[in-house]
Amino acid sequence: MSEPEFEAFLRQLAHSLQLKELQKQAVADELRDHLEERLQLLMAQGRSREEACQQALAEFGDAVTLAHDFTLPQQRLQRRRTVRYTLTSATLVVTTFVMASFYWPVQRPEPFGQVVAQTDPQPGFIEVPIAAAPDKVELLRQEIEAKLQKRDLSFSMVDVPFQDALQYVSDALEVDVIINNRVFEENGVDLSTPVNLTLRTGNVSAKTALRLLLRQIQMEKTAAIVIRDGFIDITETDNSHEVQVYNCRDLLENVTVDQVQAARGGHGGGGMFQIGGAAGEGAGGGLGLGGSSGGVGIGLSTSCGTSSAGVALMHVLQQASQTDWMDIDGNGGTMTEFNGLITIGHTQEVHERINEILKKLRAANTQGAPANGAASGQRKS
Amino acid sequence: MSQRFGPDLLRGSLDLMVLSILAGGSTYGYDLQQRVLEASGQLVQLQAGTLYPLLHRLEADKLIRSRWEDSTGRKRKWYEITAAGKQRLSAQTAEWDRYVACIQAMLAPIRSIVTRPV
Repeated sequence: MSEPEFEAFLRQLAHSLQLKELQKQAVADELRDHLEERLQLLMAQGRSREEACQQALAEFGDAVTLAHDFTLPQQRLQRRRTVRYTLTSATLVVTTFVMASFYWPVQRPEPFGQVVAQTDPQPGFIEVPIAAAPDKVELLRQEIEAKLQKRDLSFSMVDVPFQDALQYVSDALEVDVIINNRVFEENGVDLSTPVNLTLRTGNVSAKTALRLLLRQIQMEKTAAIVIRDGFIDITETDNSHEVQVYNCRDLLENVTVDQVQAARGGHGGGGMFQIGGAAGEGAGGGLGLGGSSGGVGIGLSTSCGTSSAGVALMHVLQQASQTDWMDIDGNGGTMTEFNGLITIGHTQEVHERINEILKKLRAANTQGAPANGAASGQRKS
Repeated sequence: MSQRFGPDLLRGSLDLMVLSILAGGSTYGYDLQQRVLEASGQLVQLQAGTLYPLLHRLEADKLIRSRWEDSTGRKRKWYEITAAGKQRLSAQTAEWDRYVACIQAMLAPIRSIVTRPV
């Protein structure tokens, strides 16, 4: 019968191992054998059972770090297999394409030529769902964003090379984390720089964990965590603008003209939208349309397709995002609204803030924010 | 008393040590650890927390393979070197010999200085 201390250690190890159950069991069996043999030897040398147990366990070090060391080779193997299968699949696709092009009858349309969107597909045409592609990319982005917001990471890294630490997070999230080597080289940072970080409580999001790891190597300000097409890119801070369209019709549909007029009148706190802490640190008092900020310029006059409620929402987003906007500061990002769709051109970081604000607005909207809610941090989270 | 080696020096040669022990016959983790200690004249004490992940990595790289036995009354995992492992050992041994010769040649001019009593 194994010592209780050994079993506690092996349970903790198994809990931290990112392996299949059978593999976890095999690792535990192997280490149990070692621990028991070591215990017998140490006791034969005159140690007490308690001392021998402690010594045997100490020789394995921390269970979480050990689990990380065990997990890496297995995941490296899986990754190699994935790459091999991907290459095989790509080869098959290319071969099929070449063969199809070669044998395709001349009078028929090209198999992978011009995309034809039609409601009544005819034989010989390959219908490609044009709208599906951007949706899929967006879904992927949302999926990765959700994983980055999860707070179930728990690890103890002691002098772990930075790139191994990133690999661990990547494996835990099941999302590839790609490092832009050039950015690190240009800043004289060695990717094998050891980092020390312990997250035991599970209270920190994966994104914060990545930021903390970057901080360990003084790259917090220089490197950005960017979600690309299906992976997380650790790259240079991108100040270039990208355009995204936000569908805000759900937020705008219940706003009446009266509410917007009231907001324009500058009555304290009245209005549909209120953000408490929605912009993260520094949003502080929050915003109410025409609230404590004094009803800043919400006009009913609209351009073609732009609703007054839309203008009001844009105002909220601009204020809460706490950054520069072209129409306010003469430099910065741009924001326009058409038919409930708000188009924003700004940096990736600001887009993240906008997403966060919209998420909180939606949460507040769903819960039924009080009609005359004061502009305080009631919805702070 | 002999001084043990620094971790940086050991890091690049642990695979070679483990493969060389396994080239002498199959064994299990604890025994392998003791054999390394003996073969190194008590100078290299591979910590268990280093040894087992290393064995798993070598197995994932197909340089060694394992099997389970329970002849001792408890489950025990035995390792043996593969053909690929022997090839790697041979190549690494040759590389190691070249490296040692290179370092010795570099150190030869200063050997008289560093060995001079203070």
